[in-house]
Amino acid sequence: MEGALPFSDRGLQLVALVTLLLLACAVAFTLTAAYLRAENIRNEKRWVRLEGVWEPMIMSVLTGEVAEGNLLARVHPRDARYFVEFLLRYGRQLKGVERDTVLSLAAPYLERIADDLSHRRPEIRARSLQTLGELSVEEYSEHFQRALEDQSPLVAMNAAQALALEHDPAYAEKVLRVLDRFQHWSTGYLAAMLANMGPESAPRLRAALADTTRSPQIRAAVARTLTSLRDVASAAVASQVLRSEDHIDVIIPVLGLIEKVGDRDQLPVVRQLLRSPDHAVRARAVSTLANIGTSEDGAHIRAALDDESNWVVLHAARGLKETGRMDLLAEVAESESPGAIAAQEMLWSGHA
Amino acid sequence: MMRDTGLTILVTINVLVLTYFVVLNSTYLLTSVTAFRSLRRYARRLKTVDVGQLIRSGAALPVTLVAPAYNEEATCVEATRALLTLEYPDYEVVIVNDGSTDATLERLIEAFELEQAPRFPSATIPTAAVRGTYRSARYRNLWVVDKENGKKADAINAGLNLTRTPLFCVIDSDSLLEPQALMRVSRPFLEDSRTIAAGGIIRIVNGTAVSKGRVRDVRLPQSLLARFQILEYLRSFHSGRLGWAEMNATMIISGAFGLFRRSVVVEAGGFTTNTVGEDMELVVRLHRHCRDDGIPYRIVYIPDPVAWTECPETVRTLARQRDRWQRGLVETLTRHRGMMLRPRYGTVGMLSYPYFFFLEMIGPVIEVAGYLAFAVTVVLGLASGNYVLAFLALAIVFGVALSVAALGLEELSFRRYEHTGDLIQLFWLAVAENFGYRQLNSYWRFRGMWSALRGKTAWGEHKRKGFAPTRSG
Repeated sequence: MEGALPFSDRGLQLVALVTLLLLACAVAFTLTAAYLRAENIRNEKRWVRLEGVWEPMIMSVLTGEVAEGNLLARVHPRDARYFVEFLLRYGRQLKGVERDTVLSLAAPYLERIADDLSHRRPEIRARSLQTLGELSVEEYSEHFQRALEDQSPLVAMNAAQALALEHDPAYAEKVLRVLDRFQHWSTGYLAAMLANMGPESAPRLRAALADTTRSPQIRAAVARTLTSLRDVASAAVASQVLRSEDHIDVIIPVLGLIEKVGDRDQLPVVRQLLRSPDHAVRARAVSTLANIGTSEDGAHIRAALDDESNWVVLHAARGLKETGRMDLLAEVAESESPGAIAAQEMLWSGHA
Repeated sequence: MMRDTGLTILVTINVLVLTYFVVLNSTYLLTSVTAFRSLRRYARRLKTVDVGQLIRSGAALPVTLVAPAYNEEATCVEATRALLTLEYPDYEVVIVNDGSTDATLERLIEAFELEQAPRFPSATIPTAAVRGTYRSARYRNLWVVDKENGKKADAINAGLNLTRTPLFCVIDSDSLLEPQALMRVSRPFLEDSRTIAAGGIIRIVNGTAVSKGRVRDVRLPQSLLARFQILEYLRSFHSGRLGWAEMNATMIISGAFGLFRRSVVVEAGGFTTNTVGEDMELVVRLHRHCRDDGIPYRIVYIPDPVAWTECPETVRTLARQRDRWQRGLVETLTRHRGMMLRPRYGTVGMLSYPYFFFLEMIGPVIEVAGYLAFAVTVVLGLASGNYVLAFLALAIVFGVALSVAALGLEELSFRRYEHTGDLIQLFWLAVAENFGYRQLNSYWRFRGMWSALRGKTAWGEHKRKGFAPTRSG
């Protein structure tokens, strides 16, 4: 070694070896990227070619001009998955007889899709359920019910969504039974899914709302579902829940439920919540009072305009607007009250 | 005696640099491998998601988009128009004119028929004075806030004060969101209610054709400097952020595109105004806030929601940007130094914080010292030719390997550069950037470190060119 720095030849050999290894990695990465690019181009071309064959025919099949068999004869077994993907596009958009035709076209290939339900990767199982859910829940209902117990929440959720769309009370029962598995999903997402079960499931949902053994998140989702279903009969349950509940995740959506379907019977418990230490509860209580309250609640709402929380002030101003108390709003808007700007906003949006 | 001391110092620096270099690149390699697994799984997962169905389902959480604008007269109208055409069922747009000295406000007033309208704040985070609030007569979900200049974080806080939705999205007013970007970035909030922040990928729009606020044809720009940055962004997002996210240790969500749970950010005090790295500072503070208060939370990065942004094309502007980023990093890490190696802060305290501190923050100092020591070593003939060659080859090959890994990840997942010629160019750039660009970057970051130590607070200006119209023919 000619230099004065104490780097041994062995050290240099090690550096050279690492460099060669990294070079091999770089070359491998490059080749992989090139392969992926070529593969993607090939797949795209294949897809375009297949679409070119199927696209003109399916229209004729849907209008009854061409028999289904003629189109199916153009589907090579190795293109079966592509064909199902292709049909999915139509399955999502069509209704009635035309949808039935699409389902009938897909039927011979669905067993292959159902085989994916035993795949080790949860995403593949979920995708399989999603496809089957779009094309044939009834035929594979056993698979869907079993999938509710799948160890992956994603798979179970896809199964629940497909079953919820069937409007079958028996399925609703099963979905509600496993609902606690989804307690970390957003309540809005769960509520949208549960609402698909339709008003037939309302009695079960009411029972779930009253069931204190369930997690607060699930009860909140149930309350939101009943709200979107506008289930008048749940007002009494909601009132009962408010009397004993102290979890704000439950209280707020239950107040929302009363706001939509409640009546004067629930007023005492709502008024009590105006004194809640939590500003979000007070804000929601003010909104609820604005919607179902009596003339005596005008004073409560006016008082809320001086609340320390801007949220409560905002809800109070909205409440006055919704109850047509524009005179009161105008008075507050002219005042030095903390709610003056909120009142101005409501007056402005009333005129705009 | 003096010669011996000098030699010892030189050897120490060389060993330190070599160690730093190996640890840094090994970390990059590790995050790339982690990102590879994560991206493959994510790509499979995406096939189970029907974004259109999600939009129609009624499950989407309402969002307020907050876009601070300072002297953005060239791009603000088109960018705002793009924001108004997003595929999302329930959202408001709040543009905050942060005391622009150009015609930003006038352009917005004219283009969107804005009229003055009072708006009551839902939060009271202190900000520079708000001069007025406007609402569009044509687009009822568009609001503009006109305020005194207080810099970016202050402008975001002004927007946050007016936000009434559970989620708020921070974007740069000159960025373009893809139509489904908002729905995609909000998905983690639907799938896990513990999610408090989510970031998407930032891609560079230079060279790409844009019309009516939408990206039409993704191409590489003419400017070599911009091309290098494209490669850098791919490396940073695909290999870096995705890798850290997989380890549940995300420390940055870009200020150009991030979605947050409003209540948690307000509770944490909003964005900090006395730093130039407000985006990173907020994310680190959110980690700290939630861990200290025992709040279950998730902060995630997902690679499919895209915001397109213009990058600097001149050396001067780029140097200023990197200087600012480094200062932001230094300010954030020194402010939250209590998190360093503290198990209570989980993988953030034990892994990503030390990584950012030792490798990203102090790194430029070691790198610049390394370049100098290496030059002295070579000039004085203290190292053999073999040593010089081996070290150079290792440095270059390591850099190339990491860049092509990022390109592989891009090809594996989203393939936005559809022209094969562009892909080949990017491979060539992965080699070329090692000869000058990386060294310049180290120097700029070193300068940023120095500026941070001197307490410099300026942002520096980036004059926008505006988006390129669709290519004809």
